[in-house]
Amino acid sequence: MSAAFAMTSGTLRVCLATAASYIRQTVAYTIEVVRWPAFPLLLYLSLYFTYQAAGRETAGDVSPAAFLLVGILGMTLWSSAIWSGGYAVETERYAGTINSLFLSPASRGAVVIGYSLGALAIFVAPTMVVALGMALVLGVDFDVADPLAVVAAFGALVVAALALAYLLSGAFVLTRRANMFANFLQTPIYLLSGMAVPVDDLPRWLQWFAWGFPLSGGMDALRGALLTGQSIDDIAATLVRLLLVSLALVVAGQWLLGRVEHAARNAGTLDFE
Amino acid sequence: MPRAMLARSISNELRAAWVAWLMMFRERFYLYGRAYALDWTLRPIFELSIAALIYYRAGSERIAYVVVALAASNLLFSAIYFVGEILDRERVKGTLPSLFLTPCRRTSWMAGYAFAGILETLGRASVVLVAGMLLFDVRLNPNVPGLAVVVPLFVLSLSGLALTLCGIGLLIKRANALSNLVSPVLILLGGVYFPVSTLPDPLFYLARALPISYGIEAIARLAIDGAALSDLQDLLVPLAGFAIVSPVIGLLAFDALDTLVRQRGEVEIY
Repeated sequence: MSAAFAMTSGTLRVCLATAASYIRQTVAYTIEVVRWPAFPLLLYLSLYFTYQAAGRETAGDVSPAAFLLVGILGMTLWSSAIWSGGYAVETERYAGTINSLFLSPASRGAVVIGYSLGALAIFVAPTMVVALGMALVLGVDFDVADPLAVVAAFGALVVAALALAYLLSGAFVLTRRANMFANFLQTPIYLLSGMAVPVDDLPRWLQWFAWGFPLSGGMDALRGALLTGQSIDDIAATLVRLLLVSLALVVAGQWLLGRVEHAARNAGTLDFE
Repeated sequence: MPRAMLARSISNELRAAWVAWLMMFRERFYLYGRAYALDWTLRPIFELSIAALIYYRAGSERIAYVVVALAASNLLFSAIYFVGEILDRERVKGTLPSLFLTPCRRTSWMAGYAFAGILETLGRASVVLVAGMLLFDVRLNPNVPGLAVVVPLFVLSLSGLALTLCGIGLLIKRANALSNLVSPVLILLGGVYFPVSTLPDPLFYLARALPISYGIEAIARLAIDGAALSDLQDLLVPLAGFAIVSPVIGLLAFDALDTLVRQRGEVEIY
């Protein structure tokens, strides 16, 4: 029992220490603090004016400004999943510290989650605050019937993003071209998952992707709870599916991190280009 | 300078530019390999699809505009991400001091690198145009001689931005972060997803204070309607002005920033 407690407490400490380190590294450069929230917000405005220029009054049964608000939250979480948690092991490799990381007794998973938590604090949270402010300025009509549903949908969305980051952290390093893949993955997901355009606008054969992609389910649930007055019962099935997919992602991510550890220890080639 | 020495000097600089281009080409295509090719060919299609689907579902005729504007905007992205990050990229790789010490002008190897970026940009722009025609049934009626005049003017008008970003990137040691901050501003104000005339007045006036919207709109009208250059004077006069002023401002800004970084002895530090 005490061993389990010590392990949990150790994992938590690694998690928090990594998050603190990530935050310190980021805030050391003012431009990093500014640009993370600025990018999705400026993209929000660009897409909003695109809908205006196209003469569209609705997107997915709500106003474009409302649709994009949740889409921008999805984009922010997706970017965070890619560039913080997903990029965690690659960041250590790039900094030349990956071998030290694998020699330490720290949980690799805790390090990945620490990066993600750091990004949630300094990237996702400020973006959300400013995005909500902008949504109010653009006249978004909120229709919240069940605040618990909003909290649950948002929580499930964050969990899904963390699970995706966990999966990507091992996958990116094993590709050895993490930066390329990370850059490439952003835009297709914006399109295919219902972040920038409603999934219904896509050709039917592309719509299946959104069904399986966890952030899409989370955004559907959040749009329902935040914009169309859905209750927790209305979105329960989506949330359960989302949590099951997230669990599967964590299991797959754990396996991939094992492969990374194998490459580091047995093959000794992980820090090579 | 005797004529023979001058000829040798020019030949050396051209060789430096050629070798720099070759190195950059090899780095991008051989070192980064298939992942880069994937990014290079598919990402522009997804970027186009996002904007085009918004117009397509509304049955808007502006879909042709967005196809051409996105193709042209690749020149902007090349100025920001490729040329604007040249020096900081070399600094991160640890090769910047060596490049500064090579016995040729800095402009030579930087021009070689930039030329690799322009070729890559033309490739990306072609992908966007072909995707627009195949996926969204866009038909173009280009005024090719007109484009041959306007595209170089647009490139020149962007050169100042690229050079200034290059210098600032070297100063703040975070060129990519700077690019990621600047590019969404210029997407918004550059008329990449919509003509800037659809923006609210304050943003419209800001947009018109920059060269991007003039270049992109002129290219769009030449490529879609086959407009004559004489019909585009409202766009071409400001664009030509930017094409003259921008490189001068860029060179002055770059020189000042470059001197500052070297005086501080910060070329290599983080």
